[in-house]
Amino acid sequence: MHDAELINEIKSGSESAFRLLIDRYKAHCFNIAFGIVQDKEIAEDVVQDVFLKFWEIKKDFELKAKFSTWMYRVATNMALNKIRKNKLMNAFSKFPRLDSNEDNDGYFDNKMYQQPEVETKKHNEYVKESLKIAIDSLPRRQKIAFVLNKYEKLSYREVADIMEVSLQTVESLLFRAKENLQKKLLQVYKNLD
Amino acid sequence: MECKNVNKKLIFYIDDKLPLDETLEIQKHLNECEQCNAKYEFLKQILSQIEADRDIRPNDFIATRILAKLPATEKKYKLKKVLSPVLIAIFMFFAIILGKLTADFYYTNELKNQVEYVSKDNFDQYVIEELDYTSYYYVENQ
Repeated sequence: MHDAELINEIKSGSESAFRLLIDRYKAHCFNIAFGIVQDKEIAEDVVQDVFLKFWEIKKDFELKAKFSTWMYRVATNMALNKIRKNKLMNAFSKFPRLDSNEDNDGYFDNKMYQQPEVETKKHNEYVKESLKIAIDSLPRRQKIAFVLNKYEKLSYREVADIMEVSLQTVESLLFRAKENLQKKLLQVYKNLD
Repeated sequence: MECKNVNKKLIFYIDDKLPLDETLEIQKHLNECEQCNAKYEFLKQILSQIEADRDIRPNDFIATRILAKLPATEKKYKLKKVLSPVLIAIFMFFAIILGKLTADFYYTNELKNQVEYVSKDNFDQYVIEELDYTSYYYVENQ
């Protein structure tokens, strides 16, 4: 059954059609959410919120629109909002700073290496944490482009459609995101030495 | 190619996004430079974590969990939709009652004041004053 047919049935209140739609897209939605929030449980909450949002607005959803584009867009925004809320809640705790357009280099360096327990961490966990913090510290738009492209394997064209920007902008965002990541990760390497 | 330039392009090399000539140059450099090769391996290992993350799947029961939330959401929405006009009507009713009670209170107080003024002690005086005024007014207008 095509998405349009499913959505048509959902519009008339079919919960079984809704379940099919969830099963079809939950993994894609989860990948994006996880890429942004870097936490399984929070990512699952985002998936839940995205589909509940769709159920809420189902009657207004235009059949011409592509469900996946809508879903990626909403999932991205909701995941970023979750991070923002977590940031507020953990303002005085260890949650990383995730400001969109700020240069996070200073924070990243301090965060990673001033903790004595870092040395005792297992290497794999350390690698995981390094990547998580490096992605977290990317500016907002770079992070969105990177996650859509890397965690969901979306083409530049698809990323451009979701972000409602030009292809050139996506290329530039991804280039800068990779440059920033490389810079931060090589800093990790340097500090390991 | 110098180490500095290679280090700037490692992530693009891993991503296979470089032109062929640059790719070959970096490949050659990595074979010869131990330090750059170590950085390359480190970067490659960290970035492979993204692939590992893609294997993480959401809970199998997530659809059930979402569907279980539906009736509550719908009910709340419907209830809100029905309750809104009812609540407004109730609010308006109490506002009118309150307005009336307040007006009655002030009106009663005013009457009470007047009655107190024309109490038994000064009733005669009041009547005389009123009569005087009336007669004065009457004479003036004649």
